[in-house]
Amino acid sequence: MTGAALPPAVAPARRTSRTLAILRGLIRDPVGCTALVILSVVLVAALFAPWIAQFDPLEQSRRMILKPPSLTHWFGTDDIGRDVFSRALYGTRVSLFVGLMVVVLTMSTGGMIGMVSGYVGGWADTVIQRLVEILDTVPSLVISLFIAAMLGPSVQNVIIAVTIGQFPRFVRVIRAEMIKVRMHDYIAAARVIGAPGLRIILTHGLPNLMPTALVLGSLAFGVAIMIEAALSFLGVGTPPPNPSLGTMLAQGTRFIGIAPWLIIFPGTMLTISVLALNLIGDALRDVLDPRQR
Amino acid sequence: MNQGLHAGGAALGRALRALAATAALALPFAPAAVAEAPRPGGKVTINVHADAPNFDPLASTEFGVHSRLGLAMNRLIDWDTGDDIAYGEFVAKPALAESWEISEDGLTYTFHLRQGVVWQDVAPVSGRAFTSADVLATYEAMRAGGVQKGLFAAVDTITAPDDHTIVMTLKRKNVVLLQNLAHQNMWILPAEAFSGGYDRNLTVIGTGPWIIERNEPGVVTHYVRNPTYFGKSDTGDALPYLDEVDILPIKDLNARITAFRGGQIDIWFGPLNLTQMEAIKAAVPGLQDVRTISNTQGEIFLNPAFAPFADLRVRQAMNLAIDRLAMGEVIRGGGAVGGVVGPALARQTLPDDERIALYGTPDPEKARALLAEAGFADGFTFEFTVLNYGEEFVREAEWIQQDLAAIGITAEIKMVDTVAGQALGKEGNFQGMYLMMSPFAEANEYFTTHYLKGGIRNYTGIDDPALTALIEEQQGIVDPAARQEKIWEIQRYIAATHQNPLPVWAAVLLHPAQARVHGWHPMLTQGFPSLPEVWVDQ
Repeated sequence: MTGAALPPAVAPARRTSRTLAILRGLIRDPVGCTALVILSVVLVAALFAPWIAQFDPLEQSRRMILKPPSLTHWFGTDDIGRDVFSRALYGTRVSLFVGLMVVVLTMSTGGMIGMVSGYVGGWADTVIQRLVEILDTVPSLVISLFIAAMLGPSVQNVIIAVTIGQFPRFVRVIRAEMIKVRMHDYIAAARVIGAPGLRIILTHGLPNLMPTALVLGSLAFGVAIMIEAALSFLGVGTPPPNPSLGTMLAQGTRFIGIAPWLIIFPGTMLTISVLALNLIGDALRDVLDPRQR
Repeated sequence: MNQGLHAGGAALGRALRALAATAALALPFAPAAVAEAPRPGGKVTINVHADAPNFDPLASTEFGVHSRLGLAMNRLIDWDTGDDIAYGEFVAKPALAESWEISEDGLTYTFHLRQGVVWQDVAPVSGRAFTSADVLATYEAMRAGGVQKGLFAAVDTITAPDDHTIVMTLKRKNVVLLQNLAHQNMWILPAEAFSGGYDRNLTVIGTGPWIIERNEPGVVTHYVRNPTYFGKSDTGDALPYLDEVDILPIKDLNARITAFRGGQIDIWFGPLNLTQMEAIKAAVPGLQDVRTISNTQGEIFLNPAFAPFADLRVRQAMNLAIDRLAMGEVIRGGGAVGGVVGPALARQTLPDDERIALYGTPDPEKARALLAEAGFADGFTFEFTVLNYGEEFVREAEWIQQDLAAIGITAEIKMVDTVAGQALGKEGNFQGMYLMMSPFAEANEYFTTHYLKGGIRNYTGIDDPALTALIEEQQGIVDPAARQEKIWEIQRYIAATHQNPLPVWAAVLLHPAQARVHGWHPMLTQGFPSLPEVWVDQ
């Protein structure tokens, strides 16, 4: 009936069954299932890029400049003879890696700060929230752009820049959820028996906030990929000669009239990756929200 | 050098093709073969992608200012233009100075000013006669605090013995003095501009071919023909031919392209790449595809503080690894192999065949042998700092990276913005650095900035007394042919002794004009010096 009836921590067996339940829920949802399949295909292609790609993504074949898609070069070649298919695969790998790292970092740091802020309350909460609001007043792309430009182009700096840009949203949402959780009787009971705050947050707060964090994470994954692409498009993201979908789009714009494949294929990879992640986020929200059942 | 040319049939073929292309590009596009008589009247519109923040030529070096002033003002000496003059080649043309004499010791210049010249009929000067007092006032103000101050560094005294004579004495010989006086910022103003007679930020009074009738920031700078302009064509026609000129400050590139395609712009000014040019050509029938070679070039600086680059053989090997001609053809669609002095300075850079032999004939086998001799048979890895001058420049860096990889050198590209990169260069905080060199208009600028101790582009710390002596020697040679020989000798010495920085490529520059425009010759200096001789089909 109330939180007090719940066990203090989710046991491993329950956790596994809950993960399976979420997966089952996703598979039952037609949109979620489709998105999951698409994302799995993209993930597999990116992970196994070294085995799938027929060419080195950096190798310039100078007799194959701007060749249209063919049986040899499925997505054609770029302006210095590199295979677009191989570059798109490796570029997707970079995008997914950046997205994953951003999600891990924002979920761990932003989530932790949000939980502490929501649980502790008082002046600490006020200070944290004002700082987050200051960050939140600037669009995340602008913050990321500013930081990436300051740090210089590298994958590592892109991860830092995008994480800082996404961080306030996590802090705010997790904090709000933590305030709700804090009101439950089982938290009060844990306090009464003298459990330290950090333990309460980790063992009682965290498991109950995971559904929200998962939905947020899946959406942030897509946003991170888009921002990475935008930063690379603007020349402050993934440095050359490494491929990234954003860099490939930026390079392709010069040849949009004569070699549209330079835009179409990386653009499609970017679109389906982000679309799949967003649809999974929506489906996850439906699966995890009891009101939607 | 010849050995290099015979390195391979493909390289030779490319070299010869490039030689022909370079020769064609060194000069602006020649107008149609059938000579028509110029027709006076009409109007042209030029886009300059910035407004003029003010009109004071002493306060700013901005192209938005000086490109506009050029239509209304004159210098003592101007840049000549024509079918036989290359885009970056300075040929002195009498402007407000009708003639000049140089003393035997090269330390005294006497300028005879053009007589009968009057200022434009704008208050408070209101059409009075131009005299040496105006030149004196302008130059004194410039020397005292104008942006042009540095151009007078060698000048000791300036005097005006009479109304139509100016005498300059120099502290030391300076063979580029005439070019300094023809510099794009060296407009002559009336003496009233410096005695509080009017506000030179707002009012433009010159002796030039057009009068500024109105300037609306963000909209247009509109000029009308100056009926008292002194200029005459080679055939004696009164110049300018055009009655009106508009300069449109369209800042957005796509808007400029649309305006050009729609016929709102007659003469293009500013950056444009080949892909955009192709799109414009497809939409504009009869477009004049005017192409020149850029007066900037890519250069690779190799810091000798990084052990492998201290060895001349390594630098020579890297030079031999890069296939510049193929790179320029593929990435830039044209241009010319770089040189110690850039190829835009057609009379001062080494002759095309020699430059191509030195820098445009890759020989990976020889490069690998040189590396082995230097003790780097297995190659090495270095940080390749690349300044971000845009997509095409980055693509060049990637091309160079692969060429170096072919001889075992791994260049790890590190992108930096241009300001940060130049700071790294000045601090010597780099291993290898690829950047776009400043747009120099004289060989002396290349030499003094790159190879003299303390030079602003001497990022590799070259301090070679023999080279310094050669550079100083060419500064004192007055005879053009003898100086050209000395300039070539210096370039050969640098290639043989230093090979640093490695010149790479000077891209093709595009200056399209509508079919109805005749006599248009783009020129390196600002102010559109060929515009008085431009005429249009009615």
